[in-house]
Amino acid sequence: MTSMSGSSIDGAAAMRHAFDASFAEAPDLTSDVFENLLAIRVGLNPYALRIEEVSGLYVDTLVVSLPGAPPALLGIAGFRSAIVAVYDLGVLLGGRGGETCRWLALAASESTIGFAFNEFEGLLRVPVDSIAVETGTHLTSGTSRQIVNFDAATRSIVRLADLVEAIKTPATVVRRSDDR
Amino acid sequence: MIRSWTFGRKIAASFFVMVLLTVLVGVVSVIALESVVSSKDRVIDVNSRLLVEAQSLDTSVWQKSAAARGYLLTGDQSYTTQMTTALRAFTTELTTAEGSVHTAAERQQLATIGRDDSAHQQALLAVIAMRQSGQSVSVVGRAWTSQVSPKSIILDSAIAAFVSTEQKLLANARQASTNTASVAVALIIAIAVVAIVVAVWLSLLLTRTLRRQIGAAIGEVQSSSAELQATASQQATGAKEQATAVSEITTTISELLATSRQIAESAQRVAQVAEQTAGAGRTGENTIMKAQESITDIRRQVDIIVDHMLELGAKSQQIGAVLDIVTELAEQTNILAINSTIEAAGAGDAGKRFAVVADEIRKLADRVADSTKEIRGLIDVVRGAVNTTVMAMEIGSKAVDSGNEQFAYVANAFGEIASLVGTTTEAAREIELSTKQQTTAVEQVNVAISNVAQSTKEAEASSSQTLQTASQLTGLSQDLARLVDSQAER
Repeated sequence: MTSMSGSSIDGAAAMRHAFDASFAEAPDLTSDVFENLLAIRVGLNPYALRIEEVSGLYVDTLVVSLPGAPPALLGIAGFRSAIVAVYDLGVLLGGRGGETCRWLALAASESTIGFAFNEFEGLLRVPVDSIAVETGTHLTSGTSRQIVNFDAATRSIVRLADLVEAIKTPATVVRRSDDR
Repeated sequence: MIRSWTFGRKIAASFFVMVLLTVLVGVVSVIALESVVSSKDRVIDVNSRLLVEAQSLDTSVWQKSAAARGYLLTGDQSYTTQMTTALRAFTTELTTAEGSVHTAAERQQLATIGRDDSAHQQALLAVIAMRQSGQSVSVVGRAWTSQVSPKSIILDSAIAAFVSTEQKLLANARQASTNTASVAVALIIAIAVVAIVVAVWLSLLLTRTLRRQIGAAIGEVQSSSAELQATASQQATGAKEQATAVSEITTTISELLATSRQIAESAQRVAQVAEQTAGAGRTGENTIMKAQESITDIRRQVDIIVDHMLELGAKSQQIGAVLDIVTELAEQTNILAINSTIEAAGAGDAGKRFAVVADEIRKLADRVADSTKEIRGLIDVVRGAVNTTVMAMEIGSKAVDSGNEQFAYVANAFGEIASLVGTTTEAAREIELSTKQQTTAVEQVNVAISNVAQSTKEAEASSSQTLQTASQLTGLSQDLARLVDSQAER
């Protein structure tokens, strides 16, 4: 207990030190070298979202389902007096869906569309060069996807703009589902 | 009836018969002897005395005549005195003879002698008177011849006839006495012969009876002596075996005595150990009581600890609730920081500094989240530990209850053990006392066995003596059989 209390005190001191150091050090202006990604998990699969493609992240938002809606459309939710259509990201990525989706990310390109997923793992600050573009025969012709390698894990980067476009054209969404 | 008589009775009867015969022979002999003696006495006392008296009469007559002649020849008066004495003796003898005779002829002859003597005396007195008157011897001689001599001859003849009679009577009496003695001898011989015949008959009868009955008895005696010999032999063998067995028993009794003494010592030690065990049992019982009280205290402390643990669990749950708020706040802060980062990213270069602040806030939120996770984990650990502790306490409480019950059982068991140890102590003392009594009894048995051994040796010697006696009895019975029946082969 004493060691635990000591470690907790050390952790608090380190946290205070780091917090103070962040204001004492010069601002890091090397944002071009790094890119912020939101690490999420859809079902059991890890994915990443570019922070530039997200206008907001929310949790446990009330989603009202719509009768007769397509499977990917979970319902609608209200954000700051605006109605947002919430889509199941897992269904959009070709999954079966049906899982509990606590988290919701609003698309920056279309503020009326939000994507729901079941788990938010955190904010990743990754070097740009860790992001690669994958091309292969298993992908649909003329398409590619980006992956990021971080902490010995590989994540696919979901391009929300493409999903927004796909939502707007449902056949495309189906095709992207087939890509997976 | 006679067959049922005993040997002694038969022999006594035989001897009685023989004694009767002997008495009869004796009586007859005495009677015969008395008859012979009386006849002889009669011959001697009567006939012989009468004959002597008769001859005395003759002698007295002769003396009287001789004294008268002397006087007539010498004129001496002394001869007259002698003649008077002879005459007086003659008269006395005649009177005696007259009292002794029995027959009439004798009395007649004595009367004749009396008359003849009176005549002779008168003639003699006449002649003596002639001598006294002074007549010559020749005259007196002639007067003697003419007067006295015939009378003397007559008197002598009468006396000689009486002597002859008495001699005849004496001869007759002697012959009668001889005949009586002969008859008595014949009677005695006859009776003796009869007695001898009876004795022979009785002896033969007794011999045959004795041979038959004594022979049978001897046979039985021989058989019995043989059986006695065999029995004595078996008894001697048994006595030897018994002596050996008694010797072994003596050894065993000695070992048993030693064992009894060892048992007595062991029982005494057991009693001492039992007493010590009883003391230890009482101490253990007190210790158990104290331990039971301690367990009750532990049970109470465990209940208190369980209450505290349950309270700790409730507090942990409250901490968890607070931590949920903190977690929620951290998550909201994190979301807020991320959204700030998103906003800063949307603001371009102007938002970079804000992005830094937002990032730091996010980091703090992450760290808070990590800390809350850590606290959550710690709380979970604490709650798990509390639950585990509570469960362990419940188990421990149950174990304490069980232990308490077990201690109660143990206390009861100690009580029972103390009681049983008391009983054991008492039993050990009884065993000790009994073993001592047993030892005393075994010692007495040992003494008795020693006496038995001595008696057995004596019995062995007695059996040997009995065997020897039986052998001698067998030999004696054979000798007796040979004595009874010389033809006996046995």
